[in-house]
Amino acid sequence: MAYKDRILIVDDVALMRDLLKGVLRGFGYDNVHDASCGEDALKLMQRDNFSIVMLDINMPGISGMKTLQKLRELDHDVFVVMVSAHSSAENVKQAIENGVDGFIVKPYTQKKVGEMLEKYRRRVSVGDVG
Amino acid sequence: MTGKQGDSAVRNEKIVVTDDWTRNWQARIAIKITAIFLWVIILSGFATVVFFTKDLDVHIEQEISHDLDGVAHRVQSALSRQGSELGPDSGDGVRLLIEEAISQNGVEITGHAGIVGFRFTVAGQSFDFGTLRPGLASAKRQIVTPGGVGDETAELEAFFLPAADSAKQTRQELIITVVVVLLLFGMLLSLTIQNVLAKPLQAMMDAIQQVSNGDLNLRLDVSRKDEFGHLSRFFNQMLSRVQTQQEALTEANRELVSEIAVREQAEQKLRAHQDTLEKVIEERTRDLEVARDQALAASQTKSAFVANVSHEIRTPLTPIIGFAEAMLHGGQDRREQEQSLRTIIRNGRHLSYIINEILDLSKIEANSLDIESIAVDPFALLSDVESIARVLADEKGLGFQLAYQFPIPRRITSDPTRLKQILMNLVTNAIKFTAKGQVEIAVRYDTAARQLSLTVSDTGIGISRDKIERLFQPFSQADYSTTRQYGGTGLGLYISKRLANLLGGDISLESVEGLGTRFAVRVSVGEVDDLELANAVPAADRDDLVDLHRLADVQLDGNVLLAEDSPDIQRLMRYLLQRTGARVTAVENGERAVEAALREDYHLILMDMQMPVMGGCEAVELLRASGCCTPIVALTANAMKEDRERYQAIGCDGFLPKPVEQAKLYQVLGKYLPCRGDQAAAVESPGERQEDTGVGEIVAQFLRGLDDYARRIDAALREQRYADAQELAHQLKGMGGAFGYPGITACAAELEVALKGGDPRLAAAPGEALVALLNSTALADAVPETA
Repeated sequence: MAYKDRILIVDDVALMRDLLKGVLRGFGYDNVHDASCGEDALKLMQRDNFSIVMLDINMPGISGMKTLQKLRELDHDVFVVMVSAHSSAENVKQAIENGVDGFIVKPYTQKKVGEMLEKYRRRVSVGDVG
Repeated sequence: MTGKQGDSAVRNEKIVVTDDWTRNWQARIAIKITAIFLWVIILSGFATVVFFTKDLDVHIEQEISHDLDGVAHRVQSALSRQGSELGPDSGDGVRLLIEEAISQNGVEITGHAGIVGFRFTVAGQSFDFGTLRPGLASAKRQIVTPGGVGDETAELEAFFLPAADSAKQTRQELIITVVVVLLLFGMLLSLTIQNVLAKPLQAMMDAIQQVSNGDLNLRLDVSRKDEFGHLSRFFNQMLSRVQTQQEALTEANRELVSEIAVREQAEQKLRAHQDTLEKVIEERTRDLEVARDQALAASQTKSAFVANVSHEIRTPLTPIIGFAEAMLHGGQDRREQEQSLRTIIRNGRHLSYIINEILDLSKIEANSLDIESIAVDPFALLSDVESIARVLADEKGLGFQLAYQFPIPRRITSDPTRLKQILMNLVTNAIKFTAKGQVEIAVRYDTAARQLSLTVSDTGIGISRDKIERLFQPFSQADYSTTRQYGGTGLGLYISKRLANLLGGDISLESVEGLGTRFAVRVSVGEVDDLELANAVPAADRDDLVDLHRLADVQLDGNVLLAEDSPDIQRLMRYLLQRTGARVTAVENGERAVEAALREDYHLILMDMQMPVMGGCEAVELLRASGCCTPIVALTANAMKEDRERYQAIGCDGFLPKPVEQAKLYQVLGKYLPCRGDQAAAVESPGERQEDTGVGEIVAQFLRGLDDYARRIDAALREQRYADAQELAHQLKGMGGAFGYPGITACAAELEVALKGGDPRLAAAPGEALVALLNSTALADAVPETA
């Protein structure tokens, strides 16, 4: 089955972007876009609507955490998932304080990504009901 | 009292007008007035007389002279008219002539005033008239006789009293007359004045005297128009006022007297009260003394209890420490080691039991014991009790029997934990105090009282009559020697009785010393609308019961994350978990737990709630916020209902009370971990097809069953059989993830939650979503299988 939801992947490593794209495609998400840095991501966000943003933390330019803050200023509702190797509880806490919806630690298993997408779907369906 | 007597003395004093007072003439106004008048009259009369008779002698002399002239003149005229000569023979004629002159002139010869006599001398011849006596004064007039011889002259001499004498006499007469007249007049005046002034005064005085003697009803005559009349009126008014005031005063006095009487009565009452109060105080004091003695006794009992408790705690601790140390030092063979371990475990359990009882007791004493009210299967509960009791009885070589007297409710509403606690307490007691024979639990349903009656009988040592009363009291166990001999805290029965009360029933006891004891527990079956009665022991509900044997046989698989700061408990838990075949990752605080849970895939997280650095609650919240949906079971000693509710609210799926019981732990593990060899449950991505043929067949079966599930759920929802729908959703939730379809699990869970919420409308959307997902999954994945 295929989902129409637009997903934006933000990561400075091309290999990482491709890997995640592949995993997402495996879950039925084909409408996936990417950006290599926070600035580009924010520009894209201003231009288009996205349902999910997968955000790396450690990037050149503005960091993922900073991007997250700015992104929240732009869009309160977009589902943002941090995808980072920085898995310290401190980071997680900070990300949650900045309004993140999920946190995936690299290296991730497909199951983790799947769970996160489930969480997104659940939220969407609850939102529909509400 | 003395003052009052004084007052009345003054009031009663009479003014007495004494005889002396009346006799004293000076004191009488009438007499005074009369005297004054008399004096004034006499003096003024005297003075008037003197004043008016001042020139009386001159006046008399002039009058005499005048009279003499007059008489002389008449005599002259008479003589002239006659013209005759006076001879000696003409004596009688002369006399007549002169008498005529005297009378014609109006002179009276009375003899005592004025002229008293005349002497007419002519030609040596004298004619006397009136009474002539020596000592009289005289005056002469010359009378010329006509025709007489030459100038013959006659002489008229008037005799009279000397003027001074005459005046004096006149004055005296006058004075006497005046004084007499004035005296009479004065007397009259005095009488009048007395009438006008003194009499009313006297009357007034008498009245005042009478009034002053207390007769206030007296009134004066007010007919008079003068000042006395006014005075009388004023006096009467004053008297009226005084009388009114007197009456008011009397009234007031009467009131005062009655008030005083009332006061005295009140005072008497007060005194009586005071006496009562004193008596009450005495009683209270006695009561307080008794209470104090009781408190002291209680305190002593508590001290004794604390001593006993610490003894009870130390008792199992000694073998625990001793045997553990012995093992640590080594030198024991395998059998001895096992023996030591068993001892340690047994004593550890006992210790835990004692502590629980003390905690229960303190909660009961503080009235803070939570009692649940949920559906309880009495058969399952009794079966649990039986399984333990039978083992204990077997160990002592006793018989054990569980006898049902049907019908018995299939389900009751009660608190299963507490009910079980009561039964376990009674049964273990029964076994403890029974050396040979048997222990029996008899179960019966009292329809009338809507109570479940559970009787625990033994053939033990029994309890003497005098000890039965004290048996249910806290801190006053009949005899600590019993505790020494048989163990236990002696609190069990008290706790059990109170729990039975809380469950709407009670515990009673019959015992014959030496023969045995029978405890009868009655608990309410609670608010069950439709009581389903069973006439036989129903088949055990496998879903609800933990099958320890199955767990022992079937090895579990899967990854468990254990967050626990205490190294000892961590080691124990790791051991218990690994025994089932599960793989364990242990961390020591919440932060490590969050990091590990996000990094790795776990089937289950066991989270201690009290940890340093980051507690369990925060860790669970972080994990749930960051999208982790691994089941989390809270480990905690906070067994309160609110705590459990809080843990559930922040995202915990389950709850294990500490200290962890193996059975419960395995129940939890069985719920979340897949069985070994059940490859379908292994962590796989749903995108990957199961290659293993055996597993593939299982998955295929699962998938083939999905459309059936979809149908049944759809039907249940449409026909509003929400309980059935919930059950189906629950089953799917368990299976989905295990077969590699976490989406189904999530979706089913959502439906289940919605249905549990009690509002079926909220279930519509997730229901449709689940049915759609099931249908699509069944289609998408079943096609290649059938192909």
